[in-house]
Amino acid sequence: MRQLLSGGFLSGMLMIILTGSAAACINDREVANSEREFKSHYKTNYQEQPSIESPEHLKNQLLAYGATGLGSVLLLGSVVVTLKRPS
Amino acid sequence: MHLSKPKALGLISIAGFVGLIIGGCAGLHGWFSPPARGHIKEFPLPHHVAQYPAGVSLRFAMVHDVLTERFAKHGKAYYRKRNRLVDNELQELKPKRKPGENPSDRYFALLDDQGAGLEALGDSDGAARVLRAKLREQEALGYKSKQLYTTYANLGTFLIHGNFVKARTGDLSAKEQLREGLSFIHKSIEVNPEAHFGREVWQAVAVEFMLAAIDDPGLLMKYDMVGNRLDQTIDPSGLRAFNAEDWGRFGMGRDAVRYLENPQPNNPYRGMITKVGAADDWNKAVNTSHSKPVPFDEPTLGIIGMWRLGGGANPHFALALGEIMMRVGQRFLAWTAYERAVGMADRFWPDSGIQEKFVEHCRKRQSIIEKQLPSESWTERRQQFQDELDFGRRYQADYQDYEAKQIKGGASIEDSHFYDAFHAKHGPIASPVGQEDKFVINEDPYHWMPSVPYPAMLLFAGLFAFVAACLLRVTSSAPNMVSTSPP
Repeated sequence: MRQLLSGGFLSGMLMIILTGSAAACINDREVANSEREFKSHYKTNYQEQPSIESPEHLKNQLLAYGATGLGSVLLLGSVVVTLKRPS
Repeated sequence: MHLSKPKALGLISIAGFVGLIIGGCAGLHGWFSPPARGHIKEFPLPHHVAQYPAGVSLRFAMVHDVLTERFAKHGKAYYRKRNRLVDNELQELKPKRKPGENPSDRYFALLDDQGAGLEALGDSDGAARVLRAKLREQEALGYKSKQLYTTYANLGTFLIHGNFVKARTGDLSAKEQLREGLSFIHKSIEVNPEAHFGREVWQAVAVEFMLAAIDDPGLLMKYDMVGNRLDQTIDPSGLRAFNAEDWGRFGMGRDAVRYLENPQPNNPYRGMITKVGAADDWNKAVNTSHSKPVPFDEPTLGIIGMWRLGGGANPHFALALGEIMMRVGQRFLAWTAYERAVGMADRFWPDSGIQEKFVEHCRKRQSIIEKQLPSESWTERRQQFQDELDFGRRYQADYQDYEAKQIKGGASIEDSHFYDAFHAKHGPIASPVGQEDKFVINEDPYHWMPSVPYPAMLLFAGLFAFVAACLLRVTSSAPNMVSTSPP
């Protein structure tokens, strides 16, 4: 019987802890300020910037421009070589 | 072989065209990618649109901060001082009231402060007495509906807190007051559903779940306090907090930026938020007002509110946060929540068998995450979490010590500069909002143009054409081996 009562008391004490934590929204003078401060702590800025300029990206860009330039030069060169053939 | 110039040009054109095709195929393999176009832009996520206009919207940093106690909390010295000030002001107000004059709003607000102050110092019964008297006075004056909101909410909270011990032992009067407390919470929600921006409903859900668990402790390892199934297998790797495809495809993120400048009720954005809670058979198992899955930010904000402004850390809160974060793919936060929950396992339920099952469940969830992220050092992560938790606790202890010293030194807690020196020394405690709360796209104004691998195509076209031109030149320059002149 004693065990039953003490078990009940212990679980009751635990319920105090559990439901005490569910004493969620006590309304007092602190509430409005708390809400305002809470919101202000987590402001989010959404940014805009040109496409990523990481070193990897720059390398790829250089490669692409290089290939384009070289290809164009070779095309032009092939026309020049053909036109300047001895007749 | 000697060709005329037009024919030679035609031949190198064909060679160049062949090179173009081959270069196109090589380019398709990404050997030479065309330069990226457009701008990187950041947009909000659907849960940044609050449930109610002007309400608080969730950021994942908030979850991290409650789990690691990164927020300020008043100490007992503060409440003792505040209680003295409130009592003094109430005493001053009473004689000033003229016969027949109604009490002022200030008077009733002070009664809320008085009750909250007694509650903060552990006197729930005293707090409930103050609020009962306030309710009688207001009802006698004909106050109704929203005018009674804070009275209902506070009285409900104090009754629940003050009677659960006795109710659990079978005291009928205490059980009746417990039920009464819950009904006051429901009344408060009814008269002011937007109070605390809709988070108050989760206080009622938490108590309803606890009451059901007292009758059937088996529920504790079946559901968390918002109805997520604990026996459900979750793979967080493919889950997200929102419908990312539609959010990006239909430009809703861009529209949301404009909406947030002037929020209105009834918006289409919250429909994109992942829903959680109230899983299978939840309504049968628990007599609760929470009957269907809801956007995940709603119970999350409710739990954060209870943690920060109520009784603080709780293993049921930590478990629910872990389960919710798993379901929205926030693996690190989920892992942290389970880690925090395990640290409070002794408070989950008096039964040690249930405590063990609770720990086992949390560790199982963590191992799913750990297996999915093998490059992380989880030993280091565990230590990092403990360090952050210690940091948060030290901050709170310093905050309360500071309050006690200031009050002892005669500073007024109503002075708006009371905490200036503390904040100057410690800096902000809240974690910054990171990329986890942003939808990032590369907005390309030329997106309608196919992404052609022209660098590779030009290079190969040029190579083939040039080689063909050189070969033609060499063959046309070679001497004619066949003599046409007579011997």
